[in-house]
Amino acid sequence: MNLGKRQSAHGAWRATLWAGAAAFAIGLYFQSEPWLLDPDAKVSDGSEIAREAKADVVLVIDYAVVRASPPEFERRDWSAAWINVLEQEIGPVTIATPQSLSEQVVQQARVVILTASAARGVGDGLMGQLERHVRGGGTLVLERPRGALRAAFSADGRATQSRRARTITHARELVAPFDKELMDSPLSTEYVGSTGSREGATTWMSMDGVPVVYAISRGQGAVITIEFDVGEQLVATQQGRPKKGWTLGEGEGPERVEALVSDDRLIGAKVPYADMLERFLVHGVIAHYAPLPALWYYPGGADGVVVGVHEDDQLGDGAGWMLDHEREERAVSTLLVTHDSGLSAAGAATIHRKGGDIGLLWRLPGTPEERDERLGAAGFTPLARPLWLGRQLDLLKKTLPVSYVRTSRIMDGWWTREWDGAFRQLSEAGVRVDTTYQSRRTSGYAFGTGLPFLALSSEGIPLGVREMPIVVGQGVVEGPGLDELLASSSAGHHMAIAYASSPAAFADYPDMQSFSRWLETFEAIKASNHRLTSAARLDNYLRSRRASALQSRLVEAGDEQRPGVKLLRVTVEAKARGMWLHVPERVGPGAFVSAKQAANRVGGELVSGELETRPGTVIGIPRRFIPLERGFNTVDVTYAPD
Amino acid sequence: MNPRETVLRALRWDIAALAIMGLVALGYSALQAPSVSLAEDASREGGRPPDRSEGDILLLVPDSPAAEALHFDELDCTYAWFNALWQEHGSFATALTRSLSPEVLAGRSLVIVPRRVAEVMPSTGIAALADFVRRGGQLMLERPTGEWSSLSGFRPTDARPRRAQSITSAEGIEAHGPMRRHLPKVPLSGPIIPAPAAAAYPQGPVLIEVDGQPGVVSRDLGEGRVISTLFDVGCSLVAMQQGRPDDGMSWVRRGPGSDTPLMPTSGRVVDPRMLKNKVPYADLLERAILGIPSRRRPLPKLWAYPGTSAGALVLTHSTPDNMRAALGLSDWSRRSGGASTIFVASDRADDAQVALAKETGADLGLLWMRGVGRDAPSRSIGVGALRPFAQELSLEEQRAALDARLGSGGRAARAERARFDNDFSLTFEKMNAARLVLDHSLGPSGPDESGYLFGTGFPFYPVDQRGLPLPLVELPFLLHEGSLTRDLLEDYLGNSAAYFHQVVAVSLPAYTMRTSPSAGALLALKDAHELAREERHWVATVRELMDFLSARRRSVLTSRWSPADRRLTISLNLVGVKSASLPQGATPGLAIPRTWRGQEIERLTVGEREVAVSTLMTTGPSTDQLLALPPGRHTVSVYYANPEALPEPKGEVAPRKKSR
Repeated sequence: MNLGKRQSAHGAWRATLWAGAAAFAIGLYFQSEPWLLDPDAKVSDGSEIAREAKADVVLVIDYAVVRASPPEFERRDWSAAWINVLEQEIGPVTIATPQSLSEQVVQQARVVILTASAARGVGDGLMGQLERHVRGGGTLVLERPRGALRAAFSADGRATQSRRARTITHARELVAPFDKELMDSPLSTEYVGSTGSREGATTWMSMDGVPVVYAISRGQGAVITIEFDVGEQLVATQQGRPKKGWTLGEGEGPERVEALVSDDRLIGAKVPYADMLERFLVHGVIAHYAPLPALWYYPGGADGVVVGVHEDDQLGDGAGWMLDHEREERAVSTLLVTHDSGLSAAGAATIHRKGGDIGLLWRLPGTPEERDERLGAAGFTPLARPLWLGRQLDLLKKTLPVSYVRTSRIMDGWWTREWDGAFRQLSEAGVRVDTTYQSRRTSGYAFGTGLPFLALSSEGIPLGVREMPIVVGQGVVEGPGLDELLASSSAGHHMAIAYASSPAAFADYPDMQSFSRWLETFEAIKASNHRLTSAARLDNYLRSRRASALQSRLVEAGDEQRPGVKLLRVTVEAKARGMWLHVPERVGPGAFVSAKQAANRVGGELVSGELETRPGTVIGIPRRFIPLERGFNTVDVTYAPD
Repeated sequence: MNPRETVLRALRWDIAALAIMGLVALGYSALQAPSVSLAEDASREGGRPPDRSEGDILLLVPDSPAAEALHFDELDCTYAWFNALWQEHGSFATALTRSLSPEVLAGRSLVIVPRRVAEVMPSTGIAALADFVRRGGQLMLERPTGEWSSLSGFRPTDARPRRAQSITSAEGIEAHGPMRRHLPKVPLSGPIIPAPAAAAYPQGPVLIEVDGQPGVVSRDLGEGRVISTLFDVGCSLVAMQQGRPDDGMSWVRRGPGSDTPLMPTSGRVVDPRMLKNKVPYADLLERAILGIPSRRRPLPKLWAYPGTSAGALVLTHSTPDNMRAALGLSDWSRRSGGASTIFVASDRADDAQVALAKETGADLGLLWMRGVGRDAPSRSIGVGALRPFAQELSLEEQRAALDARLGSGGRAARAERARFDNDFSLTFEKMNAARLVLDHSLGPSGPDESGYLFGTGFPFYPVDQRGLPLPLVELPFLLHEGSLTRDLLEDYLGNSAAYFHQVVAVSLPAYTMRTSPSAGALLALKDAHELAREERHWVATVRELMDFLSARRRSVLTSRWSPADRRLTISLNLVGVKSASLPQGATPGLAIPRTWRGQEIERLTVGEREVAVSTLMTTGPSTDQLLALPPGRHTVSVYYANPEALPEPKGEVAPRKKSR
């Protein structure tokens, strides 16, 4: 009896002993191999942008229609892509919804653009306003109109409702080599065909032989109809085309960002096809009917910019060495570092003081670059959770002298499995510019642009972040060289060329030839009238450009002695220093004569100063460049027949 | 029965099983991280170098070594004169004091008696030297006292001896330019013999004034003269070149890292001002002192560089980990028409990398790993796969391991991160025991440090605590990864070409672009060879420099001077070596005093061949003219102009290159 009791008591001790040993062993195991929890990522749904600006152009988007559009990429309404088109090509633009569009806004605008979402069916009231706008000399742009709008201004659209476009077959008034370049554009869009052309229409662009951009005159104004899906074409080219289910691949985890490239022909492209199309539509077609002034893309009237991007996860404070040298070359660039790169507060302060822009090199969870945060108490941390974007930003901000991080890049060319997943997280975290897009082995405009573009959600709603693709990546082995891209940019494409070089590239093998090439880029940039700047500075400039005011009126200024003279009076509020204006070189039969600052009263007399201008082109379209002062400018541009 | 004992007894097998499991886990853990024992390095003191009998200059050395110094002031600095003559003249003779005889003195132009020799010189020796002087020889005495006063011609005052601080005037040697500007900044060490003030030469005996009193004095005696240095030239040089330790011949260290046994070599500098220093003060002092006898009788020298090169550039890359980055750097040297030196850790050089390094023309030396940046190389100890212990490799073992990999002797070394033992000579003695012949560890280490921290860019023989030279040379580096920029390198090469004539050694570790990356370092490397060519500097590897210096020491120069016909006849036997950057090889040039009593060289012949004087290169300070000769025996006759025979000067004199 006693023996049994003792054995029973010993059994409890034994069980306790082994359970304790097992718990200790398990604890040790999880201490070395923690249990991984899912990341706690926060995402944004985007926001509907509406803006009343002092601008010549009114863009109308019906977000309700956008949201209600079918959830497939090809059928989604991408009307919001027009925002980027106009902000990039002109600068300030009024963005309205059908509900907020007032007659006053319509009548004050020189150009009203009804995107596909808003050109479906308009009420009689708006129809009347648009009619008056056109007859009064305004320009109306309709994207794939329906109903009364089509009946009033466009061809019948009865041949087909959705035909996939294969190639651009005609582009009016575009000179070589830009005409051929545009016609070589890979297409990812559909167009509406008609049984016959609209009477009196001038065809500006055809796809597969079908007119897709044409214009008719009505009263003193004009109506331009765009029959292809501009939004889909631009979003597919710039933001990329997802696979089925809005994913990048069949796998469960992140994919390489190259998977977003919509067409293999874009890999290694020397031509920014998306920007070409945008510029042709705005400066080639719309400006033909409504000679619009626009704010130049870059400060100081530079032909383009090179955006220096350096990424580092290992050098710590030493990562700023390239920035140091760039500073000696009177340039700045962006340094993207991981939260654990070793950058100290002092190092960050030094870089910041020198004008460098520090952004996050994002370790995307699910990739080999993922870093986990240990969870537990009193040194016992059996759990771990991948550091999500917000946490990485918080950790980086602790070392920065400022409380924000505006730029980012996902490390090692990864992208979230969801097409817009990374943009949603970046938008939620307040990042403004991302630079992940890149073809890792090949330089060129793989995403049809070098300029930052506004990212859209899979619902077609703008996310608050812009993507600026890397055009020349670190270690690319194929594709056009920087010299070639700079030459092409100077010749008319006027691009932002993001150029990535890693400070750590010389750490393991200091290749002096690569170093020499890097030094030579500074000369090449200067020689091609480009500027080397950082992503944040370019973004700040472009934000100022968008926030500026730009309005114009074209008036007859001729008399009997000087018949046919026209005056384009431009009122600009330039929000940044170094802004330039560009206006058409010709208006109808009139050629540019002069640009003058509007009259100021000096000593009781009206004085107007002539401005020093220079000619230039945008994709071969002649433009005239005029420097502006920061603040208010009124510029009178005179055109007279040759 | 105690219930507690009952439980333990009942669970004894369970506890035993757990204990065994624990031991297995501990054993596994030990195998994962073996216990490492520190290396024990042997050390070997210096010794007297073999005597040379040929040469215009004779250096007398003590018959027996001094006792080990416990304080710097006790150090025998005789061999600092050896270094000075080796650096400045190349060819000179040495003899023990007891060997002093009229035969040994025959044919000499200058005899140098360092302090310790002067202290023990017997009367017969003094008499022999007096006779030597009276018959036209020159005698240089260091801190002569007692019986020497009959020769030196001055008597010390009764004032208490003080420590020499600095040179206050060099009027007596007519120093001008950088020499005049920088000599007062040379930090002096050791006591100075108090002496009454006197006029500067030639009105008086004072050649150099130190702390307001005579520092170097001259006395004509018979047909010769006696030059006496009242301060300790030798110890001033040793202090600058090797550092002046505190008590116990080690340094009192303060601040972070002071508790570690190793210290950065820059912690040895004699004066904190020299941590960032563009002037080779030790060499200036040597030149100021050794240039004095040449005014009386032109003394030719074996130039310190091949042919008429103005100096040398040495690029080194140390790599404690993989060699890939070092190969990238050395490959650039090859592409630029030169070669560099890689100091590699013995456990990081594999056959493929060694082969690649040889393809780039790089010279490989040992990076002595001491566990500063990473664990030192070690060998595991145990049986079969069970090896829970490890022993760090000693320096000797590291050198042997690298030699085995290279298939030849790696004779040059660099201490990891330029860290030395906190001892005046222990690290050098360890290198000596490991049979290394060149060290390249003295130099700047902090970001604000650069230049001639040790007063020279030229190699020198370090001395041990008995004052005996170690049979290895120290080649200090001037610029390192933390301070290197193209402008700075250009500055150093330019100054070297214009005046200082130095070895500009640049240490650019392979990890530079990881630990302290800068565009300046790469810019400097990119243009280094071009800058060196522009400034007539020889781009050499450490091995080439060592071989050249050895050849220079094996070369022989003797001369005869005939004041009557103003003719200097020089006999030379030159030895040359190969160099990647010099197709004709590296053979020491001949440096001939440019003027004698203000008159320039009028005519020069090599054997029977006349050489146009206008083709000779002039050194930066305009003191010498350089003549490049091939290896072999040569007889050079130099004729100085006779002012009485000279016509009135016509036209302009070409301006000479000024120092920067």
